[in-house]
Amino acid sequence: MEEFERLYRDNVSAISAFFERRCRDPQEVADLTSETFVEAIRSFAGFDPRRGTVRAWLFGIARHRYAQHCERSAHGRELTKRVRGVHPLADDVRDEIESRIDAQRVGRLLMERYARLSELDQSVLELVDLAGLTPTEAASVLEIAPTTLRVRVFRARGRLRKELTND
Amino acid sequence: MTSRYEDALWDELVDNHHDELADLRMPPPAPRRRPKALAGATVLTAGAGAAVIVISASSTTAPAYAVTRNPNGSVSVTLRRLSAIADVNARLKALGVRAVVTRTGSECSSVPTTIVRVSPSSAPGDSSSAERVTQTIARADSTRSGAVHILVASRSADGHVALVQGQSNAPVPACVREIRILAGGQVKIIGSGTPESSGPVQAPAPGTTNESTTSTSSNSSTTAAGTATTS
Repeated sequence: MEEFERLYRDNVSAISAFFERRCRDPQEVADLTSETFVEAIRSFAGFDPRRGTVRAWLFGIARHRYAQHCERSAHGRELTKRVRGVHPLADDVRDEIESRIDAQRVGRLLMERYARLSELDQSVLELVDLAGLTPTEAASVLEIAPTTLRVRVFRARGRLRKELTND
Repeated sequence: MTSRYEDALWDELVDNHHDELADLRMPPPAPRRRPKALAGATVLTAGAGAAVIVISASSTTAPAYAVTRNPNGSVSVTLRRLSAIADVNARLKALGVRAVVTRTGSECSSVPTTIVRVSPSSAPGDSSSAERVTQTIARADSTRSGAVHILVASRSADGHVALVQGQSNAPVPACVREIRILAGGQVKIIGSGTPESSGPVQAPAPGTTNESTTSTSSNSSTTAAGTATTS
């Protein structure tokens, strides 16, 4: 448990920030962050350090959870069985998450710019430039070769720079 | 920097997935760290020759709780999982012990506020061996007539259950918002109250227990200690 707590402490801020850039509702952020770590607990036996770092593995789970979240939202389904959804957030916790969401506004603005890029390029730039993953970690998350990712990063930054210049 | 949000999220993960976390295949754990604020065990002495309640956080394979009456009339309570509080309280009630375990909870309402005073003291049986880390917490100022022993359970920094104990004549809250360890070993319970769905915990009536009838102000003591074992 202590080992997993260390894993949690080392990564929870980055994972939560991933959702803070996407969600305005503190409850959603907390739920999705919690779901990511619940999934990590349940699938930890399948984690292979030879295939990537823990951080990359967690981001892979987070991306998957968010994709599921979008799918459920698109279908208007009620989000049930959430770990945190069972109890509403305490006021001080909600306030803290709201502050964190607010702190991610620059990241959200950049991601709005990313929207003009391909989905893969968006992911590449977010993971490397916003989430702070190494190119190797980001490549692991996106399941592409590190060299391919580096090329993608270079090109995506160029496209984004061009977009910003044109604006 | 401590994040209330991240701490609360971790607490909830542990509460809801304790068994899965315990079963995770991890490298051999490092020696347990000493919890910063709360101990993993509490020893409560309710009076001369009266109840001693021992609450300990222990190994992941140990039972969730244990309530044992000792030869000297004291009662030992071991709590390793917050989910076992209801079972512990049922057992205490069955034994007629005027002690109630409650817990911290973010869902707990912010009023009313109850203050439980606990003074530092040594816990009987404290050990400093590698497999048993003990923290001495408190000794009660006095045992008041009709008082109920409150044991507030929370999760310590290392993920183990920790309890702080005191006495109160007020209704025992079903949960408390926050515990603060003050200078001198006093414990301040902040924002005690009840969750939306439940009321105060019902303690056994005075006079129904050995503890309440044998408590004296001169010899009564309350000791809280933190224990983590690897049995």
